[in-house]
Amino acid sequence: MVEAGWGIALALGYWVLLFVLALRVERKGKAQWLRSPYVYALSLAVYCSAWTFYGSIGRASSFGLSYLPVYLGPTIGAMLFPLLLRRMILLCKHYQIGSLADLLSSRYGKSVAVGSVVTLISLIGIVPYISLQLKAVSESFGLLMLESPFETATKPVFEDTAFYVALVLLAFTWLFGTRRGNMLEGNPGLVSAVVVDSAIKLLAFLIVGIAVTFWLYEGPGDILQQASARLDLRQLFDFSSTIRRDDWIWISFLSMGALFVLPRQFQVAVIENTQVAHVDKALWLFPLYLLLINLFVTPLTLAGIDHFGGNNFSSDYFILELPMSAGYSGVVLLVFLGGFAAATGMVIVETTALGNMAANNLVLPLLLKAGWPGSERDHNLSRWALNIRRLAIGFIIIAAYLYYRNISHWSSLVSIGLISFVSVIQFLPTLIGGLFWKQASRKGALAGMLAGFAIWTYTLILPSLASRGIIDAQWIETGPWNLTWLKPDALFGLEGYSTITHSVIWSLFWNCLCFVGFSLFSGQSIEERNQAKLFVDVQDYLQQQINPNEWQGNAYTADVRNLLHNFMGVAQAEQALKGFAKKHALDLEANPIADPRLLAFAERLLAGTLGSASARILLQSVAREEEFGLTEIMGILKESQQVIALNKELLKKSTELRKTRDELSIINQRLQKQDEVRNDFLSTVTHEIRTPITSIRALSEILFDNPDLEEADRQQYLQVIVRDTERLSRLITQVLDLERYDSGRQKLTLSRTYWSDIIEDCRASLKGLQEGKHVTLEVMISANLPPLIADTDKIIQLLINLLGNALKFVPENSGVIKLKVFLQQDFFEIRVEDNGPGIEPEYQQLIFEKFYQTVNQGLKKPIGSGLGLAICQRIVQLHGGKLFVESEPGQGACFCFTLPVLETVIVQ
Amino acid sequence: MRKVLIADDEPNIVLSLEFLFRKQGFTVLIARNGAEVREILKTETPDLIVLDIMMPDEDGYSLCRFIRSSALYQGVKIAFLSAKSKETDIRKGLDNGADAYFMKPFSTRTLLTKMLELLEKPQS
Repeated sequence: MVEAGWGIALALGYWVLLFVLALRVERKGKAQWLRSPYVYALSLAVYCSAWTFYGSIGRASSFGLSYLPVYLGPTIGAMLFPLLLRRMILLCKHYQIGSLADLLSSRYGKSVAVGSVVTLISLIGIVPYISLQLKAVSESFGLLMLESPFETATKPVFEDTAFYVALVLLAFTWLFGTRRGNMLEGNPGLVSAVVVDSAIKLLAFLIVGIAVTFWLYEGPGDILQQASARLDLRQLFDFSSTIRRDDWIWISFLSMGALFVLPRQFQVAVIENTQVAHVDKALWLFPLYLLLINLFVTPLTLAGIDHFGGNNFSSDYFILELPMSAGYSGVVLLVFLGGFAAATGMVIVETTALGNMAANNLVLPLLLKAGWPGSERDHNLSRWALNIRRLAIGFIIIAAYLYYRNISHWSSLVSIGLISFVSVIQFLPTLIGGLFWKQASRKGALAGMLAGFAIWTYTLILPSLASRGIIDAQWIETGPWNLTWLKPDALFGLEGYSTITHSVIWSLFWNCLCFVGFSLFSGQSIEERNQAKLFVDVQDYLQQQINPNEWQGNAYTADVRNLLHNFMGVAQAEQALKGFAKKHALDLEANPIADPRLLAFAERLLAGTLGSASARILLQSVAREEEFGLTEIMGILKESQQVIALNKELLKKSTELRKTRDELSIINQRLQKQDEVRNDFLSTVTHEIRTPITSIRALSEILFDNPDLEEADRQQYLQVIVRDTERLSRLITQVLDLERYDSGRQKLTLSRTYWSDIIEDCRASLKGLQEGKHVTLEVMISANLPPLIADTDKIIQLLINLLGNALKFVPENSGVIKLKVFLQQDFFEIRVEDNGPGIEPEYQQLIFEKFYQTVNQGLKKPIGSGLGLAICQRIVQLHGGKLFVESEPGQGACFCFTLPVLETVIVQ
Repeated sequence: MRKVLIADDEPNIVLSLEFLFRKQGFTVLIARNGAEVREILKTETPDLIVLDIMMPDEDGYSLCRFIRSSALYQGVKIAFLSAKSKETDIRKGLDNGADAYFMKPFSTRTLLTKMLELLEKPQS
């Protein structure tokens, strides 16, 4: 009883110490000593709860080394820290995530359902675990009072130590676990208490271990010898049984997974983490802690068995009873304090974490969806959230206490702990899949977790309820509806495993199956896909983007707005800001301090045009007063804005210029081409003119210089001169004609004429030539042709030209030329057919070009300038008709043209 | 007797040249195209060939190259007489092996003097 009094005093003293320490830490702001990897590793040791402290030895005395997997798992799990924990920390810091439920909800498209399911499973699975801590504290206190655990459990509430412990822990959690609205800022007061707890429980365990092993006994060998005299230890520490080996593996795996998904572990390892790099040291510090705290489990167990026998009801408390029976009062008190500390640390962290989840992922979303608390939400939301958290923590601790009072004394510490583990392990597939598999979907997560949870309930909870007579126990033995394959301890015929292992296997199997199956076949919403990308590729995003946390509170909204105005223009900036405010339900006017999201948003906006580095510098100037003053930056911006405007103008101008230049170049090319054509034409014309001039001049000079020329020669020379002069003037006339047509200056003088008259004129003109060559000219005119309305002189010129050409090429004496005029629909068609040599197909187009004379004209140049057909073509075209040639070499040629039949005469 | 070959497809021009060379005591051979030039050169070796450039079947340049390529006509003087008056035409004519290039229309007096001078000039 002396010890009990001391125990109460010590417990109260310890609490006062924790309160004072936590308060100091909170008052001072973030204490420097807390920002150390050793502190971080100690905080992770919240894993070792009162369950560990007392339960390990309890389990070891019943099942030998089977207590070890619970520590072996996390030791292996620590090796995954760099891969898993690091990523989880980055995600939470980057995306403002405050709990495991938050993380999973956010990953799966910010799903309320996922968050709620995680929260509910956690609550159902963990509340018994918390009650377990209360049970450990009150039972250990009961031991100090020399009560039996049964007595302890049946005391009225107000005499029950657990009740008061619960109240104090509630107060502590309220004080230090709910100080801040923003969960990510961490709870240094809470952490400082946890760290002291961890240190004390390790110290206590080591000291009691040393005391028992080396004072009570004469070392480990002595204990082994003494204990083996009482009990067949080989049976206890035998590895050969298959069942146990499988249990080992599965329970190790279970504990390893729990390390990442237990709410309290998530709280200390992720949320309370001050520096990501600490993870690397924790990688070996945390396993070291686990090793040390387990160092004396076996000696203490053996000593306990030696002292109290193998099947002691309260083997959980050997650690306390051993020093008590040996009369080591100081050690007893220290052990009591250690267990007390272990329970305290676990409860305050676990309830803080669960409170966050319950408030933010269960209660608040439901309230907000229900439209509550209405219009005031903007101003009071964080206060609301805090109060709801406090309320939730209250409910959790009360629930845990009630559970302890009514149910928990039925089972040992270790079994409750493992059942809790199996419930939270259901988050593992969803978590791992969410971090590394983009396709993992919301439906998959929900299906997996619910399936796992259902199996957990069916295989672990229902049997335990049945065993207490709460529900009918009959079906446990035979399976429901006598279906043995549905027996909860041998589902689908799986037998030979412990109930825990059996449950782990089936719950995880169905969990994974549903998770993967639904993910593969259900598809994702856009929001889910976005979030999946943000989470799985978090490294990429971290490199590109800023952590919104870094933009904290130092900038003024007005400055940010001004910056955007200056850079993007007022209208565009305002539009963007409006969209942003709407999206995040922010009132930008209400808060003079810029929301960190606004800064991140502004940075992204600016980065779009400025590049991310510049955007960052700009925002730093607004947010943190860097070397650049704001006014200078504004100056730079205004300047660059003007430059940009100027550049735009220039770009426009230069585009216009380029367009003009291109057009000019095309025109120039056309002109050059035309120039070439004209040059060719000119040089040809020159040549054609020079030829007659040459003979005219030469012969004139000869006549002049040789007065004694014979009369015949003189006559011949004069004749040539006259003919070449004619040729010259004809050429000049034709060139000028052609030029008139080509420049569009040639006008037609329309008149009404009959074809017979036109043909008569032509016959008269060509009569001499025709008769000289003895050529037959046949004329065929359709009867009743309408009169021709055309420029008669031009048509006569045209016909004479064509007939003249024909005359040139037909053979002498046997030449036949046929002239046909007839109607073809709305056109007159005129054909001039000859029986000359004809024209090769390749020349049939060329002959209409200026100065083109077919090469097979013979050696003697025919009379002609090479312009005749070119002029003919223009005459026809000007009348709206077509001129073309049909010919096969050797079969003669036929030049045809059409002229429209006009109804009226346009008198000009 | 000196021989001149006049190659031109314009009979009226040939008429005047024929008169002028005859008057100087030349034997005058006349070709109205490239083929006739080649034909005549098979049997005759004139002292001077007067070549037009634009003829119906073959241009004067290639005829000139043909004549210069044969060892038989080493001592023959070749003169172009053409209505083409561009600098490039003249250069091209001389590059193809002609000894002189005269333009149409010409002065009968100067043309004859220059032709005779050309004949006196030693072979280059």
